[in-house]
Amino acid sequence: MKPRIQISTILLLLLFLSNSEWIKAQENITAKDVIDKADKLMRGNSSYSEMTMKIIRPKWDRSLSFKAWSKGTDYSLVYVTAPAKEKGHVFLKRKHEMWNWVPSIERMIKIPPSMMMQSWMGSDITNDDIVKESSIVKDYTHEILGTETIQGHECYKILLIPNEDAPVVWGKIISWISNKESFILKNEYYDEDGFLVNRETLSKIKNVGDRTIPTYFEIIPVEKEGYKTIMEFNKIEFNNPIRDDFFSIQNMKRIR
Amino acid sequence: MLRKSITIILLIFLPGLLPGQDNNRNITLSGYVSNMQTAMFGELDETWLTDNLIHNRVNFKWYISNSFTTAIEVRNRFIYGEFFKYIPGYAGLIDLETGWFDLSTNLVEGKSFLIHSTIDRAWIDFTTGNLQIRAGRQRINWGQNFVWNPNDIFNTYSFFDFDYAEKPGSDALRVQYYTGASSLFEAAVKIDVNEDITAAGKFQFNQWSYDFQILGGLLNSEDWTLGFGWAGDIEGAGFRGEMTYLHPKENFTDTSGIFIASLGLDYTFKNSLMVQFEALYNGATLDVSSFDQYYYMPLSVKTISFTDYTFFAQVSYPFTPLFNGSLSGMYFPSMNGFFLGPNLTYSISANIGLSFIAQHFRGEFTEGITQKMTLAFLRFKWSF
Repeated sequence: MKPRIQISTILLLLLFLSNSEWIKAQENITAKDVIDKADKLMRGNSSYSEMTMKIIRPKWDRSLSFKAWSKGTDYSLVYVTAPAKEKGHVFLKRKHEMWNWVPSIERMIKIPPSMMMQSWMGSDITNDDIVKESSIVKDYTHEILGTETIQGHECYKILLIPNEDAPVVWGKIISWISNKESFILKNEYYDEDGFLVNRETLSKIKNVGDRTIPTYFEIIPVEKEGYKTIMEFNKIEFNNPIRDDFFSIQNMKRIR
Repeated sequence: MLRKSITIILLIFLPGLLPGQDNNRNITLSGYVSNMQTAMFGELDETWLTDNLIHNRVNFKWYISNSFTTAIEVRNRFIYGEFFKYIPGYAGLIDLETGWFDLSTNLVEGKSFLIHSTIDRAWIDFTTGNLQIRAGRQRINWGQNFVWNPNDIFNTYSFFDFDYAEKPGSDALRVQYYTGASSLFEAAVKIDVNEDITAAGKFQFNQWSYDFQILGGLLNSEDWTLGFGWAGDIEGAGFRGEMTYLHPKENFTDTSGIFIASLGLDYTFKNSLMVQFEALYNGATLDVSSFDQYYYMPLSVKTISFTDYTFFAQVSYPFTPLFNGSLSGMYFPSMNGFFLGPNLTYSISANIGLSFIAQHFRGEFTEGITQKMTLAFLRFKWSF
């Protein structure tokens, strides 16, 4: 018995030492680097994804499915595939501009910035979250608060404060990012008065082709019991070449 | 009548006979079925005139190849009730065909009911590179504003006709050439039931984060048309506008033109409360003597309002993701009148919605005599 305890103690000690050594070695890594790496992991230079979003309330739920293409932070295109009533709606974002194509009335609507803050089709997610107008890298200042273990992964706990004129609804965000794989595993969203509004957890870590990432997002408004929004990637591909002119009003009317 | 019925039946079932249908990905079918109960009255305590409408829409689209797409969309209505029985000429009003092709018919006209069918889209589209050509019955929507669209010279929209968002199509040939990600040249020629021609070109471009459009052409073989429109934002609020100038082709030098313009602002708050404002100036004088007369009138750019100035405001708010409410109002200064329109929509299930909508009109067509009209609607709508 005794030697065994010793061994495990030594192991623990080693682990602790190596860990703190590791942190020391990484001290010159800035919070911004961590965020940047995590952001790149989920973004790639370009991506194509098929997603389902589920809005859960105590007495009902609704699902929305869509396909999304993106290139860098400047371009994205979202095509709604379900439900029937919304099917065929397309959202295009180019730099800071956004359009909505409504197929039933063949109408192109230019979406003003204020509409970006609106909840996306009734969910806990804003238009902005969908087309990623704001960037967790560029629109925030970052600070490492410490380390914590989330879902068995050692994580940096990082504070994000939005820049003054950033197109952001939050007062601050706290992010937990695994230091080894750069997975964002948890986010806490606070309002401008510092109150926690939404807690987001990311899980179902899967190999999606060229990388391994969380594919299941759960957003829980903390003040509202039984409320939840779930987003799941049914398919995601990164770094397939997409031309800039794919993100055009012509393609909005053709994509399906 | 028989020939027409055959045409329509053929057009409805033809898609099913076409080759390539086993490739389901390339054929899509969508639409809705709704049941709407309508009540119309002057005062709540007076006699109600009621009407029931079962409304079905089928949208069929076939992606034949990378370059070719075709679409046929059919609107079927089963109408019964007092509107049909007591409003003179109601069957004719329902069967009003404004396009050159006669694709509208009252399939069955009973004593108390009417079955009407119309094909309001039937087009084939060819795209190669930046060029897109579409021929056939189609919607050409050049509007930028929400309520009034002076630039929408091909298919003018009535704000009040909420149950037919798709609107009739135009029998037209349309060429679009995309010069950039958010800019294009467009030209279209339309022929209507009276063989009047509307032919116009439009250039749309994006500058300073605004979409701008300039258009010009001939409206209904009658007026030379010049238009300008934009959509952008001021401090985050949507800012849109449309202006159209019409000048009679005949006796060009002896006549004066008409100016029609709308200006709109909208803002969405962080809690998703949305407010919209719009103002319209319409230089065309319209000869109507009652609200219901206007209500059922076919629209053109010149008849988008019954007063010279009209002001609009709307608030809408999603109380829950399932339950949305809005209240819109219009003010008609020159006739001392207004419009009020509440709209409550509830999502019963993913594809079924229930709406309660009311439209109350009040104003003086003749000075000193106030007319009132209220319409109330209850609608179930299933989308597929």
